[in-house]
Amino acid sequence: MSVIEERAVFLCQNTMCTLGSRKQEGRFAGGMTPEGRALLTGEPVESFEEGVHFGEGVCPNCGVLGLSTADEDGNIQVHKVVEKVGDPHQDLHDEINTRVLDKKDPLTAVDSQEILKSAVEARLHAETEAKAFEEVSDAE
Amino acid sequence: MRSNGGVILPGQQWHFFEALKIARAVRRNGYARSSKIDKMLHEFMAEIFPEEGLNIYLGQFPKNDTRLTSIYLCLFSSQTASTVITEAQTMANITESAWTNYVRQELATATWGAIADDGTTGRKTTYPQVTFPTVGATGGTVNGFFYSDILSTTGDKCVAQVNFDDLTAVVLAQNDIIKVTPAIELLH
Repeated sequence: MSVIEERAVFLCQNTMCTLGSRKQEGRFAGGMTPEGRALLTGEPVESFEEGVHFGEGVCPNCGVLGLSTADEDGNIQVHKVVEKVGDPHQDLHDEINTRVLDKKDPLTAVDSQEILKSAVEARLHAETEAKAFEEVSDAE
Repeated sequence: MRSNGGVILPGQQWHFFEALKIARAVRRNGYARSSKIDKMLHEFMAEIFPEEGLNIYLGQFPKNDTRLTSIYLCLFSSQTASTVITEAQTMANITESAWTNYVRQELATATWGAIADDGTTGRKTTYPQVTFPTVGATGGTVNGFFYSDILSTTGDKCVAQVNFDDLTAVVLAQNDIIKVTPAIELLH
């Protein structure tokens, strides 16, 4: 699993900010854009100063400068965007989702997971059988 | 489907399965007309405690694993808006949201709401609404949320993965904000 990107994490300590939940400080990576600030305050972009009004470390939800997560040794918390192996059955997910969305199809979300499980099991079984057949054929 | 005195002849099996499918569909349509069950059906969305999540769950009760004081709320873009991973799959199969400013949000175990009945089906606890960071330059699509046992995105495990209850993918663009109200219900 390789790391694609590392983002420094900040905490928003503004008690009026909605980021996170009302009892936990919200976390964010990156920061506010000048356009986001303008949207929030209605003030012109030209009046903003980077690092104070926008930029990395400025909470993208409330515009208040966030707290660095650096500890005493200067290690900051990072959010790693990692490359995943993905879901080998994504095609089955897509197929089932299409059926769930189709109002003419009786398949509902209630049954979607059950159908998915059966389809995955059938596929894995077929793969196992094919592999066993190949092994027997090779041996012969 | 032809009747042969109740005997299904070779070559007629598909008719039989087709009939079963139709009968099932008819029953389901019948359910949809019943307001009580209809409501129940609509409240369901795909969700799973995969094997690695159940291990964490059983580690907390009845076993004596180190008590978790927080879990983390995460969003995903893989699978679909109406399906989640299968039981044997793991965090490796879930693609986490990566839009600009996104990070996982902490859910302290002490903050979960009072446990209460949800109809007569089980017991449920709900967490206060959680707001994710405003989307920056790059947006993304969110198919639902999952709970992770740790903040780090490496070495983590998926406790449970859930679609949103309206089964609709959320397409996030710059300056959008997504809010999620997580809940867990255990059925009798």
